[in-house]
Amino acid sequence: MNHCATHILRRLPRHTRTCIAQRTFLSPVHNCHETNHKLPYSSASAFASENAATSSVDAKEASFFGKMSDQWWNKTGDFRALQALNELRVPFISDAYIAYGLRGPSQSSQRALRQNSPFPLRNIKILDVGCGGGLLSEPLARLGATVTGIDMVEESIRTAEQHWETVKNPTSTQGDIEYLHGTIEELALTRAGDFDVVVCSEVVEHVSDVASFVASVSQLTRPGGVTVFSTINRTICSFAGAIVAAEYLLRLVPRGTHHHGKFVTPEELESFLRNNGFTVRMKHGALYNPIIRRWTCSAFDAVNYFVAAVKAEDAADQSR
Amino acid sequence: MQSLWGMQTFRRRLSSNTTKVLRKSYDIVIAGGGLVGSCAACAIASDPLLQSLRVLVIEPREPKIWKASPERFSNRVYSVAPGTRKLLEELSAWKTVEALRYRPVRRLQVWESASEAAISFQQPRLDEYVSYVVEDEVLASAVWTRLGELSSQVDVVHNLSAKTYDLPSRRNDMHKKEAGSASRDDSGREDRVKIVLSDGTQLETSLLIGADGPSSAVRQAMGVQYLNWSYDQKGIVASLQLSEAQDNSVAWQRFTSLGPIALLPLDEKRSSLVWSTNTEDATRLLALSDEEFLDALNQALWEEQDKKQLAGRALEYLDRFIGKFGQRPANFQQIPPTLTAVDKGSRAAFPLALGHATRYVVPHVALIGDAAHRIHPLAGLGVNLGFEDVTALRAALRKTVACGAELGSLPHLLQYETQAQRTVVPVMAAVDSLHRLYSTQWTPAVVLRSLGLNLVNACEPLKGRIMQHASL
Repeated sequence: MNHCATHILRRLPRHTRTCIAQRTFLSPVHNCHETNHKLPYSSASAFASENAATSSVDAKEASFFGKMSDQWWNKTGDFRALQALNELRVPFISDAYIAYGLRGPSQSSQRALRQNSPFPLRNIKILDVGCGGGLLSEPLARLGATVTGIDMVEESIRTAEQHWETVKNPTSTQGDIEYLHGTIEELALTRAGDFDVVVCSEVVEHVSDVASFVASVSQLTRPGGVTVFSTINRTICSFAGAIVAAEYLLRLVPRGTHHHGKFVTPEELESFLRNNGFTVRMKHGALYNPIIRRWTCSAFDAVNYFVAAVKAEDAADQSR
Repeated sequence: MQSLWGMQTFRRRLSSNTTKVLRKSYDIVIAGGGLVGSCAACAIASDPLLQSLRVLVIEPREPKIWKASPERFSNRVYSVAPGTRKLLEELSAWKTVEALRYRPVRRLQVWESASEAAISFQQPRLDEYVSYVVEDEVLASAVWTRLGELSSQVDVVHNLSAKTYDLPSRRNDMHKKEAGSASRDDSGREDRVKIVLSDGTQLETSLLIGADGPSSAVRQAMGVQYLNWSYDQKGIVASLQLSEAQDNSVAWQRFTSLGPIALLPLDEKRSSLVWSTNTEDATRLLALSDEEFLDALNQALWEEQDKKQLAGRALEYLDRFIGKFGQRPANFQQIPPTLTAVDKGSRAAFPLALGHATRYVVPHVALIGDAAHRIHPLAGLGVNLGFEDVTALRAALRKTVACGAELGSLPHLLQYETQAQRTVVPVMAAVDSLHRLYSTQWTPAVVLRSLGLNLVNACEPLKGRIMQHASL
């Protein structure tokens, strides 16, 4: 498996490549926006009422992100660090898919073709869970993928749709995006096993029940498909970095974006993934440099980290 | 002869390109189809990740047809560094240079008029060269021939220039002024550069590349600061005949009090001259007859009256000192070739200046080549820096595409700017300092620079480093 990985990684920038080759990795900023969509519960109203009993934080976050929904594409706004994260997460997703998710005959020639193509994700169906304003959906579509973006916040979905209308290039061979307002539990009822790749970037740290969230992700992923998670570790470092520094000292993201108790460690995430028929293939840390405003890959995964996992071919009904 | 020089297909390409119907919208528009602009177009169109982009080159001049003549050499030549050759080889353009003509430079010999100090640069391996002397027209037709081969991806329009550039960054500024300082959402705004050509054609593009030379209109539209000063000097160029056929593979450069004189080999019997001198002297030299000019040149190359005695003595001591510690550098007593004639009509002069744009990029716009930076020709690095920009820009664009980012988005363009300025600024500073160091005749400065030059000459590892930097 590592052969494939190294092969694929040649397309990455050198520093990224090194980190990935070491199988340590990077991760993103506190992509606070994604919060809302992650909710594992079935509908917005059900979600709000159900959470009222356990915690009101999610509902507050949902309305908070609703208010920020016109900020997604502001190049100097609160989502700047998240925008910059694309430099790492887009190649990570496409490399993970090309390394582990291809199916059908002659995979090595497919792999070579895709690696040298400007559209490495052509004809691949990707679900972007918690797509927000479409910051990640758009680049994936530009790489040729057919993207479904889903988010709990209706205003964000509207922003995403409008933005894609203005920037999409109808004559190009790039893929297209459909944006859905709703939860992945609802989507799993109608589109189970429909996606080659399910991406949950900066989402699980906002989800109240990670186990059932991962179960839905598993239902939506086709057998042999890939899921990519990027999130924040639950460590002292992440408290200092993602909350104290990012929200209070440097004001990279608005206060209240993240809650340390909801962060998920790689071990926990891995065990959820394993229980749902996934095998983790790539894991790396990521660090953000607020001065040059760029992310770099790192072996240090105590703050942000990325995980890519492959669903077993026969795991169709292993997920609960 | 024509087919040998490979120009016929080239000509056909040009005419077919000019009649092409333009699209309304391009991914990339390159303003200026000179060497660097055309090379950028080739680099984009031959890259596997970028070749699906639709590119337009706007060239205000007529398509240039080179009347190939093995007897006549262009008076405008470039010293092509090994790094630039590598790029051209990668783009399959160097093969045209090889089919036409070029002259490898095995050794670069630098000396000065105020002392005996001298330095010579040479690659350690015999099959490696310090640089390649290539005529402007040869280099241009190499790049243009390649561009013609790529005409399915690159449109070229001739005899037209852009009347206006409407840049998104400027539009946004205006919006901001109208809307006060309230932060605005960028969505819904057209983030494209709008261009109106001189015939009224309207175009749109995601990325505008300004390769339109030192007085770049793109740079003016960007509104970036441009630092520049004139050296109050002119470069006189000419093609010179040598007294006899010889292994002409050394580039000679002599620093005189008025400016450096360079002789670059063209073939066994010819060399090309680049003589930098002050404007007044240049006017005088241009007015001379060919014979008088030749006398003046030989005098400038050979005259000894500027020599400082003190510097000579200091160099003697240094020489003995170096001799005690190790091998003295092989003392090339080789002398520059004797010049016997100037090719008729080959004399011309151009003004020398330094210029540097403080920013090379704004959203959806990037400057390359002379539009971004212009240096003194004394090290022969100007065009090489331009080609280096092409390499850096291509890397940044590859990254943009690999990340699925919008073409022309600022974070990726900034990576190009950082990379390019890391190369350009040190070279620019070094060349400008060299110019200043050698324009003085003040004895202490002469002594120090002479000692410095000979010390560097004795220190092979240091010379290797310098050459590495200058080969880009």
